[in-house]
Parts: sequence; C-alpha cells; structure tokens
Amino acid sequence: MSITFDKVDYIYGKGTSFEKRALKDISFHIRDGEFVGIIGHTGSGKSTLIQHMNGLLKCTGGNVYYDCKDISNREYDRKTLRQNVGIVFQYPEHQLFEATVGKDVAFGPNNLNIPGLQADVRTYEALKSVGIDDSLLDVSPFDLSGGQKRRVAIAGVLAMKPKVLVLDEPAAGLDPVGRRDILDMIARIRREENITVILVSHSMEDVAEYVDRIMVMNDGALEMDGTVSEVFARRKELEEMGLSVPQISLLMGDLEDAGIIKDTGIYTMEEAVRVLSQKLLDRRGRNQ
Amino acid sequence: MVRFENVTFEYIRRDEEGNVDSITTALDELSLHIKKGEFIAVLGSNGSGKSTFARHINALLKPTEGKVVVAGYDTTDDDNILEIRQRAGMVFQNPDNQIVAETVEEDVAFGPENMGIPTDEMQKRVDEALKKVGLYKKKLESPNRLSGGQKQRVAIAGILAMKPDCIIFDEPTAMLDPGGRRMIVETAHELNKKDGITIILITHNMEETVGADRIIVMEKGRIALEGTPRQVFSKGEETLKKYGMEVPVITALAQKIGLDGCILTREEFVDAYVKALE
Repeated sequence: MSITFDKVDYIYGKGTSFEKRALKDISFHIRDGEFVGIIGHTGSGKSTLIQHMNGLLKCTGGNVYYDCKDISNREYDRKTLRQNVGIVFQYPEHQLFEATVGKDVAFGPNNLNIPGLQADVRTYEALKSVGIDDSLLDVSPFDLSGGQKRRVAIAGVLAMKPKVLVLDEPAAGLDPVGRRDILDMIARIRREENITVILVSHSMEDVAEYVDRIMVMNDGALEMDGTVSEVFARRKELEEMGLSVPQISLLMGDLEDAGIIKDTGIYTMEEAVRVLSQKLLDRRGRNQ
Repeated sequence: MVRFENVTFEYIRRDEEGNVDSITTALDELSLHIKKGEFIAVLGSNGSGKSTFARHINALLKPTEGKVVVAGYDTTDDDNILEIRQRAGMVFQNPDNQIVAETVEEDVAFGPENMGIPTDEMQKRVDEALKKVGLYKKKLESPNRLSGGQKQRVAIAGILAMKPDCIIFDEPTAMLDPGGRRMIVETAHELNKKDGITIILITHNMEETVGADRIIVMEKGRIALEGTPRQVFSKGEETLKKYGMEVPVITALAQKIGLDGCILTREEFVDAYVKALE
C-alpha cells in the first residue's frame, strides 16, 4: 500500500491553554514496499505522525491517503485500515495480556471474526516468522525473556497480515545481539511478505544499516526527506537538531578533515572497509 | 567505596499457596571491589544480572547470601539504609518515571528535603546541583515540559543535591535521542573528573563505555570479563558475541582493515591510519 500525507497538520488541545501544533504542514509519499526510517529528537512529532498512519489520530488539517483513497472520507473502512496498517509501539511487550502466547497472538485475528482454523494458522505463521518455537504456544507470555516477549508482541501485529508495518523503536533496551536479531527479522519479514516498513529509531547506526530512505522530523515539521546518504551528508544540521550521524560517517569526516580521503559520503561498514583497505593496498603497491 | 563479598541473590516465585514455584539465581557468588573515584561500565546481555547488581548498591535489594558494603556501611543492616541511599544515588532508564514534583526546583529538592536539611542550605544545594547539570535557568519550569535528556539531568541533579559519593546509572540513555544521550554521558564523565564521584554506568551502548576506567561484563549473575576497555574489546568479536555484546564500530572497522593495536576512538583511528599509510 502506498501512503500519502498532504499538508497534514495536527493541533493538540485546540482552544485550550495547552494548545500545541504537533505536526506542521507535513507532505510526503511512501511507495508500496519501501523501507523508510523516521528520526527526530524527543518531542519532534514522530509518535504523533505514526498515530496518523492508521487513523488513531485524525489530522486537524490536510489529508492522509492510502492507495490514493482519503481515509478521512466517511465511506472509508477504518476497520480494514487498522488491519492493513500494523503499529508496533515502544516496549510492545508491556501490552501482552493473555494467559498464553498462542491466545495473545490470536487476539487480533479473533477480533476480525476470522474462523478458528484460519486464525490458528495465522498465529502459527506469525510466531514462526518471529522465531518463536511451537513449544511455547501454551506458555504464559510473562514467563518469557524480554527479547522473546517483544517477538511475541510483534507476532500479534503480524497475525493481522498488515500491508504496512510501523515500528516505534523496536530494538530499544535490547543488548546489541538482541537488537541485531530483531532488526534482521524485520528486514526479512519485509522481503518475504513484500510489505511497506516504517522504522522509528534513535539509533543512527540502525537506520544507516537497514532503511533506504530517511525522514527527519524537527519541531513538528518534516525537515529532511531523502536517501540515507543525502540525509547523513547534512551532519551539522542534524547535530543542531539533537541528532547525529553514524560513527562511520563521523570517522570518514575526520579522515577528510585530515586531508587523507576525499568527500565520500560513506556511512556503512562495508563501504568504509572497501575504500580504506584499497587505499592501504595502493600505498603498499607504490612502496614496493 | 563499594564491596561485594560472595553475593548471591535469588528471585523466589511462589504459587498461590505460598509454596516455592521456582528459583532464579540472578547473582551467583559475585565478588567485586569498586574504588572511590572509579568510572565503571557494566555490560552484558538482557537478563545477565546487571540491574539486580545495581539495585544491591543502594540497598533496593539485599543479598540472599553474602555481603554488600557501601562506603563502610553494610546494606543488610536496616539502620544503615538512609545513609547508604544518600551516598549512592540511582538514575533509572525511563525519565518520566522519576519526576515527582511540579517544578524542576522542587523535584531536585525532594531528596534533601526528606533528609531534613535546613531550608537555606537546601536552596543552596539545589541551585548548585542545577548549575552543574546546566538547568539552572529552568528551575521554575515544569519538568514535564523538558526533553528526555533534560529530565534525566533533573534526576541527576536530585541525586547531586544529596551530595553523593557514588551514582549508579541503569541504562540512562536507552530512551533518549542522540543529543540527549551525548549530554548524559558527558555529564557522568564531568561529575567523575571534577567532583570525584564514583560512577557505575550500565549500558548496552558500546560507544558509551570507551571512556570508562574499567569494564565489567556480566553473564548469568557472574563476572565473565573484566578489564580496561582496550583489554575487553581486544577479546574479539566471537567472544563478545557470547555475552550479547559487539565491538564498538570504530574498533571493528580498525580490526577489519588490519590496523595494529586495539583502537577505541576516532582520534586513535586517524593516527593509526596515517601511520599505516606512511
């Protein structure tokens, strides 16, 4: 599904003394199957933005379209919208509530009145794709480890078979190995299911490694929208917004300042290894 | 400053009748000594016992077996608890859970007020603490309007106002943006250098541990690895992965292109690379 925001505005507490314009004139288009990262300082409007993506919040100005259909239209089927757009909120494991892992994951499909057997299949498939073994189906979700709980919570959203998956800091609080596992899993699910994925993150390293495109929120406005290298080339502006660039970009900048390499725009480990070892090889070749 | 002597801690779960259902050993005969003025980083996978360890330092938890002594006070003796909590303060992960008052100033005053410190002395301490974390100008504002990084600094000021010897940070940056993260780590280093406060920083972010005096890696309630950042990160990717860790990005890049020594910072990298090119 493609997503279009057209001049979206959102004001919290309109008419009260707490009135705050949380989204300011936001316009963008996300194509079907894209992998997009959203970054921004705390309070920049990221969460408000993603809550507009499945109609949890209704914009106070502008329009939101899915596949070119306006979701604020009375005829638009909101139930299907919530089914199509799955949001995994921060620390989703806090939302687990059922007595068993199986029941928790099946909660969504059951609410959609999907027949029993089909709901079971979806539950089974969702748990399989997050790497939770069948043997845990009847275990209480509260007996699982932190990383496992998070997987089960994500499976609950996947069981709805969403066409768009929005994740708010899915790796927060996990150790580096757990972090990589979760993000690899999300990338794999995106490939296999061919869905659109939107990843909200505070980690520049994760964004650099996984997404194709970055949107930068700042004080409620969409400040930048471009490819990973386009966005990370604007280091100064990002730092002023309380953000950063990946460690590799910082290092390449230092090497550039020292006059050792030319402006490369490199932000990944592989590229850095390739360019820096090539230069070492060239030098050794010349010395011989 | 902090001494753990063969500390074992068990979480005991009971069923409805009160019978023991299961026992999880979170700390397993842990022994450790932290000197005054040290900056310690604690790493380890989820569930390795890091937070249980931290909660023993200011007597939020007490050992099932063994002994924890903080600044000369044994944590198992209830008469010592106030003294220990004043000397060892703790900053938690979620900034929103630590705000108790309506203004920044009142929030910072909460600790010293409970200690029964006279008003004018308290005001002095609060102002001083807020200046130290760079939030003096915001002292009359509502803490709820601050950013995540600022809220964490209010929490730090609240501890500073109690004049602690030691601050324990339990994943203080996990929920912050990069700017907030940088600020908190810098503040911790500054308090360590300028005021000689002992810092214990629990984190999953390898980059944050590079400036520590010593890294402790925990695994199943025990210390699996221990040493300076250079000693720990030179163990190589495979070993660290076993403990849920990674090598810092810069170190990994240096290892991949074959630069000598264990490189931790960008400055070291640039120097070593220039040398390799000569």
